[in-house]
This record gives sequence, structure tokens and C-alpha cells, in this order.
Amino acid sequence: MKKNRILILAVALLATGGCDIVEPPKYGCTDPIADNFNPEADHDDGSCIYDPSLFKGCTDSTAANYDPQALVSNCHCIYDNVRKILVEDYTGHTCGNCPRAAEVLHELECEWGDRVVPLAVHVGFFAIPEPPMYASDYRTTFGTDWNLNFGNSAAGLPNGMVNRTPDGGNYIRSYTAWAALTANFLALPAEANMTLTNTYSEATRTVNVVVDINVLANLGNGPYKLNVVVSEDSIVGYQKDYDPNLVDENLPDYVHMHMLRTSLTGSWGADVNSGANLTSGSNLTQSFSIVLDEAWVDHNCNIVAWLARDDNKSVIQAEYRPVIAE
Amino acid sequence: MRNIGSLVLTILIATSASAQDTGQQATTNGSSNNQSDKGKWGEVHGNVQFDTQIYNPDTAIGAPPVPEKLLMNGFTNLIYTKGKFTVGIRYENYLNVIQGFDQRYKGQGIAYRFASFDTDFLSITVGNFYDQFGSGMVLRTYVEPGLGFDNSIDGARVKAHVLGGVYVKGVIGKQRTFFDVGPGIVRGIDGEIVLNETFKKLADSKTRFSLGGSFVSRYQEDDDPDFELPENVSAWAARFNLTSGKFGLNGEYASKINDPQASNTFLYEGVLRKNYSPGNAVLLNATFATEGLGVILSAKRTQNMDFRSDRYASGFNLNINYLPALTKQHTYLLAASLYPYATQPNGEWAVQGEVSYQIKRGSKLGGKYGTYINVNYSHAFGLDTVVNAAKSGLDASFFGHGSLYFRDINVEISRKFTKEFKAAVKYFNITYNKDVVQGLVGYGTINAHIAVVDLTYKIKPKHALRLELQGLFTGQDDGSWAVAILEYTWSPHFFVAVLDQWNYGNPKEKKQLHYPYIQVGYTHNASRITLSYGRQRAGIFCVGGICRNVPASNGVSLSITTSF
Repeated sequence: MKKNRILILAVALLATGGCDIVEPPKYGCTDPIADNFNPEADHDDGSCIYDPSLFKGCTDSTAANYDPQALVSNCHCIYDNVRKILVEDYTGHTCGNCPRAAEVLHELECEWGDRVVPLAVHVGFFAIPEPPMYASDYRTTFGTDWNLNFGNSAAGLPNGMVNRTPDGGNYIRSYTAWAALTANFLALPAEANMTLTNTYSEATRTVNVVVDINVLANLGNGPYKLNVVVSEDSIVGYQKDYDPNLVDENLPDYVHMHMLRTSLTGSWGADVNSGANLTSGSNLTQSFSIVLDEAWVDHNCNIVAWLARDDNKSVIQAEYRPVIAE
Repeated sequence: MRNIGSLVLTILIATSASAQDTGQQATTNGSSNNQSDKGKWGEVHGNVQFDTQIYNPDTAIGAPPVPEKLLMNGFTNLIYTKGKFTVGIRYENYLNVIQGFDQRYKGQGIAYRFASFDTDFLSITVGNFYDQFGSGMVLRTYVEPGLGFDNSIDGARVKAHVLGGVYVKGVIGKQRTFFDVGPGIVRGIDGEIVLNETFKKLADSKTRFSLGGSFVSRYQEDDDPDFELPENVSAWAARFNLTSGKFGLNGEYASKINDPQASNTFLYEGVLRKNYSPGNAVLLNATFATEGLGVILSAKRTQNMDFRSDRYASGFNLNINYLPALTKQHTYLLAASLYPYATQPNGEWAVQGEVSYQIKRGSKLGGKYGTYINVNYSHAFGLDTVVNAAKSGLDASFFGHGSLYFRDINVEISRKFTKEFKAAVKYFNITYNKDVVQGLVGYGTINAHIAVVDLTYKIKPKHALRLELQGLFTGQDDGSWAVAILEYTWSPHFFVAVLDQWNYGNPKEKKQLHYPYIQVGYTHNASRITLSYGRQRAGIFCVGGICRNVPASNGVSLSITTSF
């Protein structure tokens, strides 16, 4: 009996793990060519200040648009033949904590270039227009459908989804988790490549989109759906921001990025390969067309596309390109 | 018999982060210990609750159309006991989730199952279980269906009565999150020694003394590409409990190592930073109780003690510990639901004092049937935190304090005047820092006076009429409210109640609305059916900077509960 007791105590003690006290990060400018480079900093806080004469461009030599002349990153690297993921930010203009999530998404774009395909979806209570300041209605029927299906606004904004991949049925991810999830996803090889070719007629404001998909792996669990949507950058409007350093939390000139405007393929996408599974080596081409709303600035609009499983909506590959080529 | 209040509150309390109360804790497997073998085939017991609501759009109060029109939450506990063995399951269905609850519950399935074996010496549970170490500041798992909260551990637990007066338990597992488990593994050990049981000399002493200690560690892989994050985050706590005659004193100190997570990030120089500071909490309670008089004094200080089994979790999800709120949980509608306080796990000082006195029956003051007086005061304020940029954290001096978060002064006097008639009057003065408690900016600190008159008249045996009048008076926020409730009970089976909430003082004239509500109920033994119809107010529900809106609603709801 006594032995039993000692054994139980030992098991209980073993079950109880140790602890890891770690060194905190040192925030600062980590780029040696910046004027305010801090050699002690190990985590860049976006504070780098550069000589304006330094040439900006893509500084990653593995990118398709790598510019050996560039000294300062323009956060705009473009990649080919790699996995690209959809990172969605569910937000609202009266959600005062939501600018924090937008900042994280911007950091991810800077770090990963177009391997992160950003989309901001305005949903729920915090997206309801509240005149006079918050008079704009940034909601869409498609965003509302996604919000109802995944439960984003009910779970509390801000939050988002990385590649719409469920973890035990839960798709919603805190923005503090996006960086880690993004790194994990992007370490995986691509299962399909996708290219977007946009042709735009300024006269009719019509965009023709050709999506080419080159399948690189045998993909079971079909059918698959192709989603094609329009996003708009640089929409200036009111945003609530609870940054304690601000005098007024109502920011009149906030720049909303990557805002979902409409979908060309409904809420859940168009059929791909007539619903059959996708096999390695197959090439698929699909075309779409849309007339841009008068209210949208065509130069700021993007076509965003992603290939997804129909059953659980998880994304296989994503891509985006501006309506008007740069 | 505050039936209507409780049902309206089912949704409204969901707006109250403070309402992490323990009503339902361990109602399932906790009760198994006292089961005796009732025959050859063992014994089955359990309970069922179904809540259904039909929604009508109501533009005046901002109730949106609900696509499903009908939503239902339900659960059924089924426990089988035979001798020392107990097994149980809970089936839950959310088809679809009632508004105001987390939509991630959508669906149905077995959310809880366990098997346990008890002897005098050992108690072993595998599967889901609820448990608590000390006051819960390092570990507490519980279920609160009214809030959509369940953080049960799915794993194994061993409890042992090692020596006389020495109790040890160890737990390991992952925590429930919706219909799955979280990514982190929780490991914990707790020990308690009751000195009066250990030392025979003390066995008959009027002074009872016990000491306890806990250690909890969470493992979660560091998958962050940019930061070094602690994978094993540990917390420990030490506690004591002393009672001597009429006096009681208990306290606990808890500490946690660096744990940068979603809920404790802070903004400094325009950059959102991870918080690498350690955390700690201390709680002290003193009580005095004698015939007719009770006094409670409590104090608590919390700093950076949000502890979860997923560092990315937020809201009511995957909490490992529980930080008790040192504020009185009110039951009257306006006091309970408009300005409820929630413990701020990232930093708070709180004190509470309560005196209750029963004036003797037959005395001049006490009247023929006695009079009860209760005075309660609670006060919570922030810590005086400063950013420690070098350590990427926040520092705070122990006794320093920041802005006021919450203050509540309330007095209750109740008296039974005759065999047929009793009355209670209550007054509350609540100061509520809406910005801090709800994670908002620009609402400021609201001061409200609340008065309640609660009259019950027994018309004849088994027939009682109750009238409750409430007023909340403030010139801030949504302005003043008035509530009237009239309830008729025909015991033991029927009751009917009508309620109206009127926001007559809303600064926006269009929002000076009535929220009428009617409820009828039928009770038979352990079963109850209630049918309600009316409007329910909207509210914002925020925890740790994450907010969700509980929309206003208008419609019929049906609730069925039974136990067997």
C-alpha cells in the first residue's frame, strides 16, 4: 500500500512539467542600412528611418521581382511557383481594436510579399453604418455569408482566418497567431500554382479575369471551388482606434486596405473540373468578367482568387493581382 | 422565485464578463462521490435543458432578422453509477447557436464523457473533469451553460488521501474548446494538509488550520517564427485557511512565469508588443460570523495573471485559472445586467466589505418576524503600470494604483411584516469605468443610482403576488431606466410574470423604448417548462479587448428543464 502511494506521488510529480523562462525580445530597427539601426535589437518594430535617396524595391533574391539595385524593401516582393495563402482580417470601422489586426496583416505582407494574399472583410455589429462619422457601409452579402458560416463577429472582433483551415472545427484565429500560422503554411510546398491575367477596359470599367491553375499534387476530398473576388485598397474613411496615445479615437483619414468589395463567384466559389478530384499535372483555365462599381477606384482594385475544398472550405492556393497592371 | 429575471438574464448575463460564477460547477461528475450502490444494475441519473427561441426582426430595438428564425441550445447529462464506478456523458446540441452565445458551438455531439473509480484512498477519473486548486487562481475548470463557458480538462486525474489529513491530486489533459480540445497540455499537482486531521492533539481543537500548495504547467509548442516564446509556462500558488470559533481567515498567493499571449499584448511607441513580464495575484479573506451578524472583508491584487492553454486564445476560451471578482453578484435585473464588473486579469486592486445583520424577531426594531439588513461595499481600481521597454513588459509597484474601474455601495433592508406580506428595499450606487471593463474608449466612467422595491403578498395559501419596481438613474451613457415586474405564483405548479424595461431617460428620443416581456411557467416535480414572449435589450460583451455584440431580440422563447 505504501509503495502505491509513493508511486502515485512520483507519477503526479513527473506529470507536472517544468518551466521556461525566456529572454524578452529587444525591439528596435534591425536593418543595418537604416539611419537608426540598433545593433542590440533582435526584433524589428517598423521604426527604421532611411535616407530618402536610397532606392526601394524587392530585396529578396528568391523573388521574381528581385531588384539587386534595391537597398530598402518596398514590402512588395512577387513570387512564382510557391505556396500562397489567404489571410483574412474580419473587421469593422467602429471596432477600436481592429487597427491592431490590420497592422499585423501589413507586417505579414512586408515579410512575405505576395505569398500572403490579404483580404479585409467588414462584418457584424462593428461594420454597421453609424452616421454622421461612420456613414459608409463596407459590408457585402458575401462577407456576411462567411461571417455567419464561420462565426467571426460573434466570436469577437478583430479576428481572422489563415487559409480557412479548421483546427478541430474552429477556423477563427487571433491576429496574434497569424504570424506563426503563416510561417507554418508557407513552409509547405505548393499543391497548385495559380496565375491571374487581368484585362481591363477603362471605358466600360470591365475586368476580364483568366485564372490558370496548374495542379501539382493529387488532391482528393473534392469537389473543389474557385473563388474570385474584388478587393479595393486605400479607401480613406473613418475608423475607430483605441490606441491610448491618440487624442481622439475617431480617425477621419484612416486608410482601409484590401477591402472585400464583391465576389465574381458567389459566396462559395465556382465549380472546378466539374466537381471531380484534381490530379497532379492537370491544367485548368477559367474566365470571369465584372464591371467595376462607379464608387470604386479602379487603380486601387485587385482581383483575389483562391482554390478551396468545397467540404471544409480550406484553401489550397491563393493569388491576387491588381486590376490594372503596375 | 425571481423567474422572469433569471430568464431574461440568461441572455443578458452573457453580456456580463463578471458572471463567471460557479453555479453549475461539477454538477455532473462531482455528484458521483455520494452515490451508493442502489442495487444490482446500478443507477442512472441526469438532467436535461432545452432553450429555444423564435426570432422576429424588430428595427426599433435593432433586432436583426435571423435566417434560421428558430435557434436552440440544449444539453443532456447522463450519469451511470454502480458502486465505486461512475461513467457519464453530456450530449450538447446548438441548432443553431442562440444569439449571444459563441457561434463556434454550432453543431451537436458528445462534448463531455468520463469514467471514474473511487475508493477511500484513491479516486481516478479519465475523460473530462472539472476541478479547482485552492481558490482557482492557478487552476479551475467549470461549466456554465448560461454563459456558453466550459473549460473542462480532457485527460486524467488522480486524487489520493495519502496520510491522515494529507490530500494530493494530480491532473493532466487538454482543455475543451467548443467541440474540440485546445493545443496546450495542462499538467497540475495540488496538495493540502489539514493539520487537525494530521495531529491527533489538534483533532478536537476549535481552531482549524490547513495549508495547501499547487503547481500547474502548460505546454504549447513555440511555432512563432520571430519570437522565442516559453513552451512550458508554469504557475504556482500557496494558501492557508484558518478558522477559530467565529473568526475565519484565508488567503492565497499565486505566481506565473513569463507568458506572452494574445490577451496581454500592449501598445508602446506605435508597436504592439508581446508582454514577457511574470504575473502574480494575492487574495485575502477575513470573516466573522455570530448569531444574526456576519462580516466579510476581502482584498485582492492581480497582475498579469491571464493563464490559458492556448497563448492565442481570447474571450472565454481555454482559461486555465479563474480570478474571483470581489464584487457582489446582484440578482435584480438593472443592477445585474447594465453595469456588471469583470475581473481585469491584466492588473487590478480590489477590496470588498460586507456586513449583514438580522434584527431579532419580536424586538421593537425587528418587528414580529425579524428584519434583515445587508450593507456591501466593493471597490476595484487599476494598477499603476509603467512600460519596461528593455524587458518588453509592464511593471507596477505593489501598492500603487491607477484609475478607478468599479465601485459599488449597496444597502438592502428586508422585513416580513405579517404572515402574508413581506417587503425588501435596496439601494445601489454603482460607478463603472465602461472603457476599461468593456475595452472601449470614449464612454468614460458612469455613475448610476439604482433603487429597488420588492413586495410579496400571499393572497391565500399557495397563491402569492410579487411586485418589483426598479429605477436606474444616471445622466450618462443610455440614461435612466425603469423596470416593473408583476409575478403571480400558484405553488407548486404555475407562475406568470409580466415585465417592462423602459429606457425613459435615453438622450436619443427615438431610443426611449419599452422592452415588454411576459412569461408563463409550469413546474412538476423536477421538471419545468417556461414560455416567454417579448423584447430583450442589446449589449456589448467584451473580454480583454475582444468584443462581441449580443444583439437585441424580439420573439418567443421556450425553456424546458428536467432532472431524474
